[in-house]
Amino acid sequence: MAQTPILTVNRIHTYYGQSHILQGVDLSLNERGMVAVLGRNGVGKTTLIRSLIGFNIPREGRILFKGSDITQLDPARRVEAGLALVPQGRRIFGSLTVEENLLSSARKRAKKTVWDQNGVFTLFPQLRDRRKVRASHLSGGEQQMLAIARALVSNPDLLLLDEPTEGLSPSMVRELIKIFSELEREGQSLLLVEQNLKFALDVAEHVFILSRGTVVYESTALDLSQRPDVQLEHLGVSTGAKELPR
Amino acid sequence: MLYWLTHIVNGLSFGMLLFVIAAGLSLIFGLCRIVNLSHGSFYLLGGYIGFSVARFTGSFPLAVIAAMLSMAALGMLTERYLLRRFRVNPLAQVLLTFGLIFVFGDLAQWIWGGTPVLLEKVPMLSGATNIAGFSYPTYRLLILLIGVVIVLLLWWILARTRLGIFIRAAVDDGEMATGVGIRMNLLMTVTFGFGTLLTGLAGCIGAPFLGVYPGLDIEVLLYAMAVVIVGGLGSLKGAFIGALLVGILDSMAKALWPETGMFSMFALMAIALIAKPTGLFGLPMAPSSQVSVTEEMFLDPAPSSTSGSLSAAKTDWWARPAFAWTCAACLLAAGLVCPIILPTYYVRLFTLALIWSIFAMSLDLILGLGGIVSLGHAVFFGICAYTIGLTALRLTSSLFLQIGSALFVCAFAALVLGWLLLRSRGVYFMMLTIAFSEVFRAIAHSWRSVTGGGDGLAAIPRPAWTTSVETFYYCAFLVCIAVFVFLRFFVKSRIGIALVGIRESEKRMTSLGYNVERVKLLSFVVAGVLGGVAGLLYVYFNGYVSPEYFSVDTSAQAITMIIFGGAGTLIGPIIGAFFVVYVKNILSTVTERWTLILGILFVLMVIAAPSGVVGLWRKEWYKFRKKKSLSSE
Ligand SMILES: Nc1ncnc2c1ncn2[C@@H]1O[C@H](COP(=O)(O)OP(=O)(O)O)[C@@H](O)[C@H]1O
Ligand SMILES: [Mg+2]
Repeated sequence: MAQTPILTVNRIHTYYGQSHILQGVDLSLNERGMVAVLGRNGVGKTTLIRSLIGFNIPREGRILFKGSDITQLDPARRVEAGLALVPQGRRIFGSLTVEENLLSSARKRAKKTVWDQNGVFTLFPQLRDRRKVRASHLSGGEQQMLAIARALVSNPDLLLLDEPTEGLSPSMVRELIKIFSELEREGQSLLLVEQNLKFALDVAEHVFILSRGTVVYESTALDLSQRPDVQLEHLGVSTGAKELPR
Repeated sequence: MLYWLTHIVNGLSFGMLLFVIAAGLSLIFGLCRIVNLSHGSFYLLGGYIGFSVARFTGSFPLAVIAAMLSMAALGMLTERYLLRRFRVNPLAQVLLTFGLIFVFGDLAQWIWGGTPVLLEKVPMLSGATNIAGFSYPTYRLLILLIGVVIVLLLWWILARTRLGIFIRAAVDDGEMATGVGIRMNLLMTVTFGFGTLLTGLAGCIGAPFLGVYPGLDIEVLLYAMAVVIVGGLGSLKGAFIGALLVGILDSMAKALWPETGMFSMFALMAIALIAKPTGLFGLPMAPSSQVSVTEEMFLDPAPSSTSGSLSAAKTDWWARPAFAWTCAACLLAAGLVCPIILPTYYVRLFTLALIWSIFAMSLDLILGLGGIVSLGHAVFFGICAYTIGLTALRLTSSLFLQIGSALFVCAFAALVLGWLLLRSRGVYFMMLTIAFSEVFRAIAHSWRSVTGGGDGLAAIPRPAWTTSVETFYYCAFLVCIAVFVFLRFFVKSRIGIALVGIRESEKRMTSLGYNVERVKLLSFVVAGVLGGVAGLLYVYFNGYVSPEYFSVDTSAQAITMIIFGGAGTLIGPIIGAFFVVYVKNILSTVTERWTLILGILFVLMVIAAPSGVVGLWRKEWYKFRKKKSLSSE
């Protein structure tokens, strides 16, 4: 039962200049499956992700990834160690083609399932058709797929996802649910930060709720789906108590 | 026909040389988001090293390789050990490369001396080649060929290799590039080194027909900047088209109008600016690429002397206004009695320091207060000086008319230049200010019939009283105080407050309903005229004018003074002026390497104490007072 966690976040404090955003966040992720961190707009979800990938270095606290301390490493080293990011707003390289975007991050790594260009094109067939197209000419949904594909081809041990559903149509969101479930089945570990409660409950097994820079709640997704009081208090929305996800 | 063909081929080959230089500049800018102002210095050093290696080994290809490799190494060292530490502060990076101009330039003069050297061509290449009935110099054709090879090579690297993908990804979004695992630090160092390698190559292959001589660094920098101002930074296409345009235009204009050909460069840049402030193919100026003003570097002109817990200290004697007034009165008294008690030698020195104080204060109005980093403030110094010289020599002996017309011309020039230059922002503005001041210097240099060329205007008739050291001292002293008081009022006025607001956030001031453009232009003109005042005092003090008045040295000295004293204050530039003038005076009796020392001083100031003496003083002061107020609780 007692797995070694793939990622441990130990009381991190992250600042932008003077503003103290993360005020002692604690998290622990087990290997395999998807964990979601939920929170309202502006509570510091993106800041958490930025601290994990290394865009912002926490002033206090520690981040352990696969047992080693990565708190001070720069982003490229973290990617080397096995992290990958699907950032908020996608941030694909607009002047590069789809194929070049994938080449920018591709790396080989000893793992069970190996993602290469062909693999991600099978996962996202639309991208195969548009492989020579400049990424800035893709639609929003395609850009999101490309952002996910770009992260996958680095064959990460842990994939960080920052609000992947933002700005997508309901049918695209359903598509993403399918894709994430498939990734989970294949044994990929994922960390999702989301505002979209329903989506998170659909795809994640375990949830944390972030509020005012700290983790205020932790449970399985199933438990949270039956706690409308918690949902209302920390997220301001509720999916209703009776309906069970999946 | 042949005449024109020759000039076109010459222009094309010069343009290709410029392309090799500007491609490096552009590549560095695209990735590192800084303009390497010392790019011309790498060209110069490449030329000298090529010359030495060719003389030592007798082999031209070896010279080229040596120049390339040594400049790549020097560039990578510069990036790694000087620039990298300022990744979050592009202004400090650009100022560092500015300081390096003087360090490298003077070092080169130290090693290779002040006389031009000419690299011998390979005998095989020194003849002429016949094509379609016309004969062209073979070497020029070779340069054309090298240019084309480099265009293709760069295109291939960028479009067809993984390194190219990394570079383009990093140009798109540097942070995200690190987030997909691209080692940005390494990539930046390598790219910087590659850029300087190209310049070193250009320096060596350009040496056989341009020669290598002190001052070439700045000349090359001017041409490279003209290229990217026209073509745009961060784009190879822009560098290519800009380089050919500048190359051909320059060689045509110089053939047609030997004296005033440089005006064409002025016109070209002005047209490019009006048409598109970021050049024809330039990268759009993303907010991150704007030279942002950092609190660390610019001080608050009037810091709130007491805040929060420090208010307990208000009753201390040093915090009272009376103390400040007493200090001011003491300084004033010291200033008044100093000609009486000091030897003439020092009175002259102090007069010089006062003139420089005025110049530095005037620049600090836009640089420190407005965050408008002009590296070519010398333009106004020179324009005023030349107007005085010309009117005094040719038109009138009336002091009133001379000064009046000088200030008028200066104000007019400031208005036109401000209108043109303030369209651009950040690094483009910095480049343009250097470029325009250098164009003025080049014109003053070549337009012999009017400006007297490199000798300048000498024996300018001066009113009798100016020859008395004491009288002139008091005159400078009065003007300096007047400028100080005026600027103090200006800073506290609505416009001054708006200017500091613009420094902090232009967007916010616009949304508050300020006419940002007008505030900037007005401040620019005021700064220009006051800079001109310094220039006219300088002419009456010295009795001659030379093109060097326009040079970047003049601007650099003022910036050193500002950074030494503390940007954004009024007293800072004065402290800096007295320090720099005094040190320069001491050093010039011991060594000729004044420029080298100025450059090193400049670089060290930017690295160690970017907020200057006043900044250090305030920091210590607050610490001291905090301790005091804590212990009294
Ligand atoms: N670059 C920044 N500088 C200063 N404050 C920021 C910056 N980015 C975000 N913030 C602030 O940090 C807080 C958390 O932001 P963020 O992590 O983006 O929230 P979330 O992703 O949960 O919506 C917000 O209050 C936001 O205003
Ligand atoms: Mg967010």
